[in-house]
Amino acid sequence: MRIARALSLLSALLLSLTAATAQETDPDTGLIVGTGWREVAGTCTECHSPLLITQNAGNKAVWRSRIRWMQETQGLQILPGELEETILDYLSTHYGEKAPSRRPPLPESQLPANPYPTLNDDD
Amino acid sequence: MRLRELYASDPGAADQRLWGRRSSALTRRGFLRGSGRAALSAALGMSIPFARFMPAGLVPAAFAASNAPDVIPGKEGLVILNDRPLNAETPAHLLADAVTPNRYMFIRNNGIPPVTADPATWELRIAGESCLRPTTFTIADLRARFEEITLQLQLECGGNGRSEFVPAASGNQWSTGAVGCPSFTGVRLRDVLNYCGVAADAVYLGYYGADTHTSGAPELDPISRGVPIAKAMERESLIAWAMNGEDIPPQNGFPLRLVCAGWPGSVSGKWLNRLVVRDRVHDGEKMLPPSYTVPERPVAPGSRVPDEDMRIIESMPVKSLITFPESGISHDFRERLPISGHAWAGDNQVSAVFLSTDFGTTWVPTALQSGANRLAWQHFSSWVQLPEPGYYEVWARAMDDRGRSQPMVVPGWNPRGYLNNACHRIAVQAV
Repeated sequence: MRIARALSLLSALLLSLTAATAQETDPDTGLIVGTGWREVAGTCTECHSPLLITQNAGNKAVWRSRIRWMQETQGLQILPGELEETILDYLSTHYGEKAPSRRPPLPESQLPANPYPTLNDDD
Repeated sequence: MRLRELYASDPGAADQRLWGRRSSALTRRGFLRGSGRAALSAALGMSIPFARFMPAGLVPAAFAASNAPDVIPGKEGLVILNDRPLNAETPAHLLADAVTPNRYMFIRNNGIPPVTADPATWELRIAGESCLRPTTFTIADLRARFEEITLQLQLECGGNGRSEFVPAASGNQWSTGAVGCPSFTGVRLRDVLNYCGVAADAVYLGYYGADTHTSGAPELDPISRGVPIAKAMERESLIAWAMNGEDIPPQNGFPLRLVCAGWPGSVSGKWLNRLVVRDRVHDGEKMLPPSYTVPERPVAPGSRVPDEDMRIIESMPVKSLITFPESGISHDFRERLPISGHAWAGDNQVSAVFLSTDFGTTWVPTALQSGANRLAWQHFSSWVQLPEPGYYEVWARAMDDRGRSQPMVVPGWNPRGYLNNACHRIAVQAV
């Protein structure tokens, strides 16, 4: 059946894609599994999707200012100091600052087939 | 039957058959249960965060990136950036139509759209301290009382392109797809405002919609922005009930929305139920810094800019998008490569669009058309001949009628990552 074939092709393709960037993520939230992820999942997904976390980046100060903005304008409660530290450590570790670039290369998904191996390939 | 056909014939059944996913007709949200959720997760090779909130009609980002067929009615091929609130952008090659079809119009929600919206009973209240004759209209009243207007109007999210800013700016990490130019039908905002009387001291028009805050807090508005009276009074500013001759899609504001084109999309309120004529700059949600504001003077990347040094974004900067070919193709270098797309420039006209295939060393002009009307995007087309096999990028650079061009690098950093109008790039391997 064509649907089944399309589906298995798709899943093979996508599984191979994820294998290349193996980092364990929580199946329910998509958050990288690491110290503090449960606290983040429990605290930060009540009002917005975890996708708003996983697509953003920043050091501790940047993440702290986002929390303050949510507290000042979006109705987020004051977090116990220890919990906030745990959350900030997790976010700045797993969703840390971007590498500096005034114009990064086009994303992999938009690149044509390359006749050459790249720096990411083993010799 | 192919996936696309299956979805075209009966989307609900297709969802059910492929994923065991049931989407509620009432809420338009999908519910993935048990094996259905597992099947979709397996096909994706990853889980779908908050699958139960995933609206029907949208493709998970991993599918879209893999050129997988569309899923679901209403929208097609959009890439989901955020599923609560819902935000989804359109890949550049799907924006090739001169007039953006409803299924390809991006979604930028700040809150949760109303679950029920009946155009027959929907009411729009016009009031505010500088409104002389506060009035409530039904959509039928608007149609009966005012001239009906259809215009093609360009809407772009102020944060389109945010993903390229370093240091990273908070918010949805849009690449290039938070833009579209459908045709809207409605009445002129100024006809309605004049009917209700605009006092001499009026400064700003603010809107409120029927969407609700994602926290569920009833006292919080998800967003309530607007435009200065002068922009509201332009002949292209509309209160619209139709998009491309059909009902406005639910995620784009059904049954009624404001359209003030050329400014950040957030000024064009959706699910519109109240307008306020203000004697001061409107102070609704997301009118204040850091939202939809940029530094008054340029700042170094990463600067913490105090609120008083920020100004509200008005007209958007000149920009263009290559919609053909899709980035990532291989092309026979002996053949001409046709290139086409659209350009727009906020309140201004685009005067030229140039292409470069040598990383900005040389530029060639394209054939540029006029827009269908003011504030509609303009179509450009040309072709290039790639000299020999190799990796090329095609860059497009538009210039507005005041001589302002798109930068080739990411423009001035700002705290929330607005107004990235860097030239669009696509990659081609000539073989």
